[in-house]
Amino acid sequence: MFLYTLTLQRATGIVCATYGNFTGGKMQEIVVARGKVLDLLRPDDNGKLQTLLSVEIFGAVRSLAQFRLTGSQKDYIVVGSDSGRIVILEYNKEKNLFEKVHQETFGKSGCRRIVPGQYLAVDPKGRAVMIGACEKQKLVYVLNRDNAARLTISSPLEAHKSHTIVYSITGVDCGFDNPIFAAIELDYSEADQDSTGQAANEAQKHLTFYELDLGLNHVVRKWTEPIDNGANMLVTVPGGGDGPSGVLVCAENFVIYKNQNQPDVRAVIPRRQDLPPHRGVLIVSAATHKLKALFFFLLQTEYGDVFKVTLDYEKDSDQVTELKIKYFDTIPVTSAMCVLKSGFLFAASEFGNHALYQFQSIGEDPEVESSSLTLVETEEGYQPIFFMPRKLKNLVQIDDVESLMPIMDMKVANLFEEETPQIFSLCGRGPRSSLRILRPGLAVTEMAVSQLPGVPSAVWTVKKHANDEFDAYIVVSFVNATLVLSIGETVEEVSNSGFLDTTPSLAISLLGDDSLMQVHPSGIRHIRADGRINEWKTPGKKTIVKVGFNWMQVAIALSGGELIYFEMDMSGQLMEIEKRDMTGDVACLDIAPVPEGRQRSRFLAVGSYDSTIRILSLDPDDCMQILSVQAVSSPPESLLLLEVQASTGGEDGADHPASVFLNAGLQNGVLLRTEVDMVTGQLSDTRTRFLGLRAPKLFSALVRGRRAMLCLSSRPWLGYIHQGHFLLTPLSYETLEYAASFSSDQCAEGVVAVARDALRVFTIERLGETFNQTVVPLRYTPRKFILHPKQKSLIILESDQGAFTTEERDTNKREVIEAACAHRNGRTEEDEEMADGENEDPLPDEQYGYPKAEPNKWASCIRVLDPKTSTTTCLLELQENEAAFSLCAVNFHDNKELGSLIAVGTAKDLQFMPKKEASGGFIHIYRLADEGKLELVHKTPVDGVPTALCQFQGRLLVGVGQVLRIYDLGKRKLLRKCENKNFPNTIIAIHTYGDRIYVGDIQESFHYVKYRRDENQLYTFADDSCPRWLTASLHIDFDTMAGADKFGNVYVMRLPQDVSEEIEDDPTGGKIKWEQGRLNGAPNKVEEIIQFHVGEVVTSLQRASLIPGGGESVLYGTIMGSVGALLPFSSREDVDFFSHLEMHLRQDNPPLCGCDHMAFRSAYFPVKDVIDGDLCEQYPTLTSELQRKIADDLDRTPGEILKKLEDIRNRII
Amino acid sequence: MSTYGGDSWVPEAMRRKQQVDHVLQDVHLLDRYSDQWRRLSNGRIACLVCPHRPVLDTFPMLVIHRKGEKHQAAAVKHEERDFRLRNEIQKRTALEASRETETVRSNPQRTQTSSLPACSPLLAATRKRTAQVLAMSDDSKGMRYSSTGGDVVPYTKQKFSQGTPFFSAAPSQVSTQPMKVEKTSTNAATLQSDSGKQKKGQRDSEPKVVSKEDQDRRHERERLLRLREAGWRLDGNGKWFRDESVEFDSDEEAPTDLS
Repeated sequence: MFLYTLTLQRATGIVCATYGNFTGGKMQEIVVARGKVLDLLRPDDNGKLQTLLSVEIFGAVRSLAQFRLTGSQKDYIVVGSDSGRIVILEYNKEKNLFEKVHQETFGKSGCRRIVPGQYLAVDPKGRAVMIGACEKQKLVYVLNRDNAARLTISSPLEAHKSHTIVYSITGVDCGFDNPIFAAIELDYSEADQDSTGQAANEAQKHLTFYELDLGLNHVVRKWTEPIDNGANMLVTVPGGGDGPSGVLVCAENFVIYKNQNQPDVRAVIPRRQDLPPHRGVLIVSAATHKLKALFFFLLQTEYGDVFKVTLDYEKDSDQVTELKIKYFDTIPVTSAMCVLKSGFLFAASEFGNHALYQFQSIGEDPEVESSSLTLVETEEGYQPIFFMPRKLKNLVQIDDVESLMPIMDMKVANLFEEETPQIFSLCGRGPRSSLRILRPGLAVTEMAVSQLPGVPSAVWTVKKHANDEFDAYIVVSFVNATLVLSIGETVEEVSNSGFLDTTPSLAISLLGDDSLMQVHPSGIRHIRADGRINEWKTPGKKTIVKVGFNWMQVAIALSGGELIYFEMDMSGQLMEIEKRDMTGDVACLDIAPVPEGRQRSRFLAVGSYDSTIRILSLDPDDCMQILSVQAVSSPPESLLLLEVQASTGGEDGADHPASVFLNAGLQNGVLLRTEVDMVTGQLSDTRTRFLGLRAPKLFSALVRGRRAMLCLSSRPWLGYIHQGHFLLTPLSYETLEYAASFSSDQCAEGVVAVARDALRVFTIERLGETFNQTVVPLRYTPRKFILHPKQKSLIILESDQGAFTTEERDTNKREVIEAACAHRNGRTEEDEEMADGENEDPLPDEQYGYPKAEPNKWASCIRVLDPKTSTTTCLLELQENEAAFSLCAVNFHDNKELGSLIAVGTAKDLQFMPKKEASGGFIHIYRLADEGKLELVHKTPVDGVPTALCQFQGRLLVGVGQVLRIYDLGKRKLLRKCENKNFPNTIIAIHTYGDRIYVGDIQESFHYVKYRRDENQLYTFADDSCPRWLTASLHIDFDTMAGADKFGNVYVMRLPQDVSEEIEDDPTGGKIKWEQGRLNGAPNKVEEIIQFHVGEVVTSLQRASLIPGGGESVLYGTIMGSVGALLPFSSREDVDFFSHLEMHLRQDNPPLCGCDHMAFRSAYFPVKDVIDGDLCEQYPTLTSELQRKIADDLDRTPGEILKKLEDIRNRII
Repeated sequence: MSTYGGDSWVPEAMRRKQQVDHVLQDVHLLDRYSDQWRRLSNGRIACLVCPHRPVLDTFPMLVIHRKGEKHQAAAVKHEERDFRLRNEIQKRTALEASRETETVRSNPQRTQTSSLPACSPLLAATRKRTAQVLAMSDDSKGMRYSSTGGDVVPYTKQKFSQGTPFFSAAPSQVSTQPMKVEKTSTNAATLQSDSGKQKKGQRDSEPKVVSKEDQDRRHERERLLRLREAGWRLDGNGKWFRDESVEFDSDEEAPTDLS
């Protein structure tokens, strides 16, 4: 049992982000860390965020910072990770990759208390970097330049202080004086010693300045001062001539300006009016915007409100006189904000979609503002300032980057009866939660659909001149006519184009620089630029059946199998060059495009009905001679010679020589892809893939300026090269008949296609993505869901802690608005108008968040959703502070009349911090009536939180804390029939199969349980020897379970065959009853057969096949919003091949951020029998020498390795 | 450093190994007949084929001995004896098996013939109770519910499909449904076995007609198990009483006593 793991969709959540000029030009880029992936993003001219580069680093990125050496034009990236190393990266624009400039080891790997990596701070002048741990250790590296202007890094200087916890560090801008770093620290040495706890209560946070003395080359603690215990973040204030220097300390409710030898300047953070008085306001992210003469800060609170902070200071003495905090806008809570010079704000959301905003203004208008000068101190403390959030005023959202983070639950089913199943995933948190339906394939944006007078058979686009940027005509062919549409401001029919419109067309193309060609069944019409028309007629009664062409050459096939080849001569005339009789009718033709710098293409591909494809030469020396023949499984329907240009690791991130691929769509629905030797025309290295039930028709298209292939089968596919991989991905669009690439000023790279009687224009977005999404918003954080088997609906549990129910929220909102209108505290009339507007159109909760309630208050609902129409057919809000946690569908064996019921487990008054036992829970039994309405049958109180439910032999199995119970349906409540109280902690998952029950414990992995009917008892007969903190579970077969733990591991465990047989064959049944436990657990232990560290917390596991007729794999979804698959290998050879490939890549391509691949995959338990596909797929990104070296070691060619990688990917998706 | 020392130890070692291999060529053949000789505790070797058990010093000597005329003659006899023995074992196994099937077939008849006369009610009651108790314990393991509905499925180990193994060589065979449930003539679903196991063949050869009595017995057994599952327990007198740790509907009535 070997598994191949592959990430299908990379993590979408963002942990930290930084921005700078990494390419060295004027453009600013953003580097984001998505857990174990490092991405380089850039907003393009249309304001869409494009991913330039995405690298898996096989480690956890914990912090990112950017710096620039003085006088340099380019920024470097410093990465703090769990590798125990500091890594400095430089972006190489030419090769499109991150280059490791420096990597210095300072400690052990892993996220540890005292190993630095958690915090990074750079000197604003780029002279030093400080890397800190959560406790004790801080190291300072001096950055410098050598004679060749290369970056050098010194050995580390220690700035350790034991028994301190660090909350935040930052570099202080003090011009070109010695670099200073500021840190918020808490000394716990006394608290540790004092057992009474008094010292712990009195512990005080300090702001400490560390100075790096560049002359003496050591670090000293220069200055330390107590600060508010609520301080959590530091923000650098510009200095050295640009500002007063110092830091902003963000604390609970306050922002304080602090600097050496200066008095504190403190201002209160304005509060939302509906915020309960006991809740503080914390700053969670910050961004600084600095121009020549002005700087300001944007600080975001934990509720999402962004404030603009400005400082007034005396220019000569750098004495800060006033600190002002002004309400700016409200956007969803971010984990990082980046203000770009081009006027964009990138907000990396904590949960849910990220957004790109454009600044409309910089908040100059009057707004609620708190200032250090107007701070009023009363006996109860400082007087707060209130505001009401309003609609976006200074920002406008221009792009949205989809993020699945966090995936709470995931199921795969084909509810829509499409070719491939859909992935239903519950994503997000609180008001931003959603159900996302993922379908494999690229998303398509439809630009236009227009009805045509008949059913068209083909469509082409054509330019007027080879150098034109945009297409001039769309030509549509019908059964007996041709329609010419000109592309301009509008698309309209024209008749002066010179094309013959009374006959169907076989091909329309630009010929030479500026003449047009129309091929119709009875001849070729050549329209010169000056309007002259040359017509070539077919000899006798023969008609043209197939055409192949490029802009210099045309080959036609006449009925009966005669091939005629034309070429353009110097004078722009189309000349007949050669004829050849093929033995039978020709099924399809294609000529490769003319290579750059050549006059003609050398190859003509001819497909015949006898299931062969021939390559003919077009060279004058051996014109129309057969170069090679390939027999195929079925007659070819369409051919396309696709040239892949040579690349040296440019935009697509890979090295490969130029090559020509012959693509053939066969009548049995298979796409054949064969490499054509550029010199001899020999065919080699054939790859096949089944695309659909219809014979694929192939068309060439342009994707990001490169030639790509559109394949139209029962659904459209796009074949393109992305970051070195050739990807063949379905498009999420309807079946198309014929297509052509399309370019106009509204849509640079589009596709025009015909389907039935409509003409469709669309563009393809977000290349490289595996899934496209349909989003259905939800009300609260989704917890679990099930697919109702009969009604094909989804039943979703949602619950939120510390939230008000909808009714309470509505009443509160009304009251607050009324109160605000009554007081008019400092708001201008304009705002009043806006407030009036809000009454009609309330602020969306997705943007502004829910008002906060006490932490032990819950809001929860059960939703029945029809996925086809995305409508909610029933939504039940739970009352009396109940929150739903578990559900299942159950058929009770004694109650046939009620049919399938829904059981929902709820908790009442649940409180986590300080932990308090819930005052009980309930199991609700609902009946799903017609039209998808839920009817409560009854409600049974239980003595704990029912965290797991499952149907078992016509009854209900419930996990309540440590107890596993069987309930039967009674008339007024559920009746407890049997229980086992001996589970270690809390049961969170139950699966059943036959009379075997698999129980997942929150801390201790799986327990195998057997139910004995004759004794009405539950016996635990096997368990795991490793304590696993289970987060997801999946039943695989009778003896096997797969699980995931909260440390990011996926594992599979199996009961040994002999034990399983013994349990099942026990003749007296007494053994199971009297057997002694082993290792404080069950008498038998399961064996671990698979172990793999994913690196992200896996929240759901599913068995599914994403391709029609393909083998099943295990799919997983993670907190970070990534989706991956584990595919079982079917042959030993593959295992050998991939394990060797993995081994070579481990050696020759070590991960970017200094981690060790093997150590990462074995972070908690040694990796067992799993091959890392993500590493194997880095093979195409290696240099070609390295690729060849590895291929030689494996006794293969690089092409074969790429084919293998492609094959195994195609087996998953 | 190798034990042979020097730079050219490899060819030397190879040559030596080849020589040894050459000498022991025949000896290696002996491994195949390991049941025909035995190594004694003093390191010498005894031939087990010859009746007088000659003891030889080394393997080459054994090889030479095995080529001798005397040994060859003994070997023929040895083989004959072996053959006879195998035959006998086969015969006896076959006999044993046929006797078993006969007993099984004759069993129902015996119960019929030995049906008790009406004059001994006490005996009849005892038998009935024993049958019930046995019924409950016997088939307890044999009852299963299908995973989809509440139907009761008679279960035997042989017939129970453990699902297609997930990591099978042909993953395309893995079905989404873990078990295939099929209706049989007895109106009870049986779980289909995935591969043609030997025991399945045996099952199929059994008479398919289930007598009414068997059916009744099964129904009775099922009823008892249902009651047991629902929390009812039997006392010594065949009366049902409620298990204290189990909840019941307030109006639920005790089932009729078995006595």
